[in-house]
Amino acid sequence: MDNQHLFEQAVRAKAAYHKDARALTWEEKVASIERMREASTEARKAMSKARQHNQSLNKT
Amino acid sequence: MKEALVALNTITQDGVIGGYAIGGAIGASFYIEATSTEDIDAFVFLAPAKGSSLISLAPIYDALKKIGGVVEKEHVRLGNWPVQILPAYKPLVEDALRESQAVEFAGVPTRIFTPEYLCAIALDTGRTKDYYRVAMFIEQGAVDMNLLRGLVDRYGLSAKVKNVSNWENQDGQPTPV
Repeated sequence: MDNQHLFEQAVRAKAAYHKDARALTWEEKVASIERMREASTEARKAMSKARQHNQSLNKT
Repeated sequence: MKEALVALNTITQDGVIGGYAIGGAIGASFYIEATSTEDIDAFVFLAPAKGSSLISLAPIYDALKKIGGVVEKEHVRLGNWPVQILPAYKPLVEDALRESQAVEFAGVPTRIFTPEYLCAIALDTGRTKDYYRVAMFIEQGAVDMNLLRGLVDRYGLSAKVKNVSNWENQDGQPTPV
């Protein structure tokens, strides 16, 4: 019962988040897309760095 | 993004292109929840070429370079954004450009595709993420389904709609997969 309550709460929170996200202005949405781009660039850099590190470990 | 739109407006006013409209994820974000993208898709009417029937994007790239654009592979970087210039290559895109609507971004006038043409082009492009975008438009009630069905019939996209998870037939029943 408790779990069901928590699940429903999470679904409601998610629905509210999506409703808020749709209510943003176009400028705000584009700003959020820019943040997503920056985050994925950083993630790619970190993955590349990790790959290089792993390769250097394999050589030794 | 403002810089990119100002640049596109400049080359339109200078007659380098015959007009443009923003499509793809950035165009869609005007109507629905934002989704991640790496670039701005700018669909353009090419200005009539003098004495040549070949399509070339070189004059557009040259004009954008003159106003600060930096060519990076298939994109031109304008401000923070890589912009992909996509010529109107088929009737669907030409009609989408003609029917595009005037809007403003941070005070800069620009044009975007209507929701129905954004969805029709997404169906035509046919990658998984494009079908997902159409599903988002439907789920968020951001597209006129009667108009979209008309475009699907007109441009021969009927076979594609089965790939949209929440597409419904005229009778409101889910399309059989």
